[in-house]
Amino acid sequence: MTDPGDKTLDLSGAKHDVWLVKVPKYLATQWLNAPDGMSVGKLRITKNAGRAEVTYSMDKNLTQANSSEKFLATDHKFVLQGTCGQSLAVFSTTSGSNQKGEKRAMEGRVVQKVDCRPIVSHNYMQLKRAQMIEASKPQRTTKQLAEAVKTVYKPVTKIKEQIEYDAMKKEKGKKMRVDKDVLQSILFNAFEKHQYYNIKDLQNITQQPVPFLKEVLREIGMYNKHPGHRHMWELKPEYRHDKVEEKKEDSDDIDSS
Amino acid sequence: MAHVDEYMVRVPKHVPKKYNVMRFNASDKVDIRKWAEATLVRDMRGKKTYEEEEVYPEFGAGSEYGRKQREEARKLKYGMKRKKFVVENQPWNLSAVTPEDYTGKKEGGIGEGSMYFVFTQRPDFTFEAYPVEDWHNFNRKIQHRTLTDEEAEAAWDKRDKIVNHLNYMARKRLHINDEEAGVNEDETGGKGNIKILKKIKKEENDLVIHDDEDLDMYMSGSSSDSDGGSDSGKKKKKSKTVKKKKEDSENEQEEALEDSDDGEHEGTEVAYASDVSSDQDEEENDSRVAPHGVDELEESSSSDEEEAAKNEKENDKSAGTTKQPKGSDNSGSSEDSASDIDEEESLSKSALFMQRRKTPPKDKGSKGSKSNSRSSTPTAELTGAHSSKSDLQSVKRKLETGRQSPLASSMLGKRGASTSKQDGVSVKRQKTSQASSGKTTPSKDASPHGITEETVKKYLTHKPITTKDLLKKFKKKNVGLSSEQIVEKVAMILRKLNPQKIQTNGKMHLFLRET
Repeated sequence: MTDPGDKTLDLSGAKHDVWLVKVPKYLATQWLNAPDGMSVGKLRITKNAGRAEVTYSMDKNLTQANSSEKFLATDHKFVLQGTCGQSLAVFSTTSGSNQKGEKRAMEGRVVQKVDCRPIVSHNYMQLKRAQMIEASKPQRTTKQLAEAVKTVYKPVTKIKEQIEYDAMKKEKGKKMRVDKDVLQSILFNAFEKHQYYNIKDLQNITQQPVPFLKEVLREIGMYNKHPGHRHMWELKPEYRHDKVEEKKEDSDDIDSS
Repeated sequence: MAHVDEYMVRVPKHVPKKYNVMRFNASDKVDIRKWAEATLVRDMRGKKTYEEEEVYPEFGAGSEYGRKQREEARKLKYGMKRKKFVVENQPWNLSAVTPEDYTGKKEGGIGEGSMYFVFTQRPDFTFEAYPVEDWHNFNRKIQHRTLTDEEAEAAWDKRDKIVNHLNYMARKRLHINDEEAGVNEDETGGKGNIKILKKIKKEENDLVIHDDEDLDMYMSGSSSDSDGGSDSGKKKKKSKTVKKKKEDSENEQEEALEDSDDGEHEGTEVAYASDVSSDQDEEENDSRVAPHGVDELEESSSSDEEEAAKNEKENDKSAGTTKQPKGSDNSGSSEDSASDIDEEESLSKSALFMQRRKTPPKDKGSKGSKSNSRSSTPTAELTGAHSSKSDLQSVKRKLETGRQSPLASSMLGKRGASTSKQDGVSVKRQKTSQASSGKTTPSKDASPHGITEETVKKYLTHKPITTKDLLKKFKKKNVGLSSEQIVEKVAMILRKLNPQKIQTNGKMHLFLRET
């Protein structure tokens, strides 16, 4: 199997410089949940004696949208770490339309690995505290019941499914033997699709009683006793469907006889 | 003063692109800006692992109704869980114009505690942040050839057996240089000749020659020379089996030693070899300690030498030539000198030997004779043929043959698999029997060809035997004698013994009741 996608890597974006920012989960979820097109915050880059200091503050709209949450850490510091000599790149995959496979494109070279760290404040500490309390809650707790459980399963003579099945069977009544020709034509139809059939499958297909089915099958088919297609019926060579016309004639012959 | 820039941060939604990080090794010094063109393809070779081996047609001729479903149900019943082939998890193949190609493997567990975003700057004082989906570690593709399965197996077998790695590697390098030549430079001239001769012979007869030195090469680098011509894989395999055998024989020795202490097995053993006199002396103990088959091989080799002197026609001429230089050579490995036929012979002998050791005691009679002849030879050899050699050499020689014999028997073991599975007790028992038979050897010394009253008696008492079979047993042992001579001798002994005649299946069997 080969890769269905587009082999060539689109290098048009290779000259871009990008940042790779590691963001805490709580902040990331807020960013991802923010409505489309809305700014999630502001980056303030301060160049101070050749050193850049980057701070992030959450957008007011986002703060308000998340006001239901008790505590919000809004201000973060972006710590620029450089690349440490490691070459990191970003590429994108676009799952294209059906005829054209996945497209791969270079999106840029990582020039800065950035760590987004919260500026420790009262709010942040409260947030962490809430997180810890939440995390330390056991997932399952015991509960005392006031009463005994009443929905106990009791043994029954017949389960619901069986009752239904019996009813269905009764309604249908016994399987009626159809005309031999009709059954043969059904069988021939079936054997046109597949070469080998189990007797059970044939029974399902024809809806005929097994003795009758076998009787007819013995005339036109043969039973495989050897591994490969063991316990399966196939047509005798003279009835095989790869010679469709012949088969028809033969079946006619049998009908007449 | 500080200069402050303010940027808006946006997180665009509904972006069709998925952002991934490529990580290269720092030492690779990858600079994607220099790439002119590159291809990035998923390596889908993992797919075939999930495909069915047998493909049946879904429709038409040869198809079974509902086969797929039934197969699936059957597998479900046995708890099979179908693994999904996830295209996204397949490794990348990256090739840029740089000389190296890379493979990128997806790395898991990166975003567990936090999330990564890619920040790209837009012209209008905004940053766009895109979440990173996956990380991929890109490593250089290896340039060197890796071992195939078989080679890896062979290498694994050798793993802890190389003592002198320096020597080994040097040797290996030499091999690469003249693999076809097969002769190492550090070999002595005489040995080299032998090697070449042997190789030629091998080509002629299509027989595989193996010698102790194959082993030595892996065990101790210094004193070894290798038969370069032989198939390396085969050699390795052989060496492995030899090692194993050696261990076995060591174990057996230990067992044998223990045996001498505990009495119960001795009792049983005596029951089998009742004809053998049961007095035990120091010699017998010695024979126990020595690895099995030492004596026998010694015998075979020595007899070979006699034969070589007597009738050359028995051995093919190349064998003879190889042998003679060997005799003069005092390297001490007698195996080396053994010709093809010799080897075969020793093989067959050791095969018999093995059977004797492992088969239930009904074969005992034949064994007894064998052991007789076998044990007789070393003394003869030590005193007669090789009297010129120093004791030290003879001992060395003995040891070497001892090492060899398990090898031969291992090959035989391969041939007759039935003999291999026997419980340790029986083996032990037979061992002791062998040891005890070893002491009978002096009596055998009397007649040079092992046709003595005693041996004949042994065969006869063991079980009813036809005269033909009886003769066969002696013929195998006494190659030097013409068949008429053997027949004559045996007939004489038979007349003397006057065994009971039993008709079984229309054939006359001779049998002698134990007195």
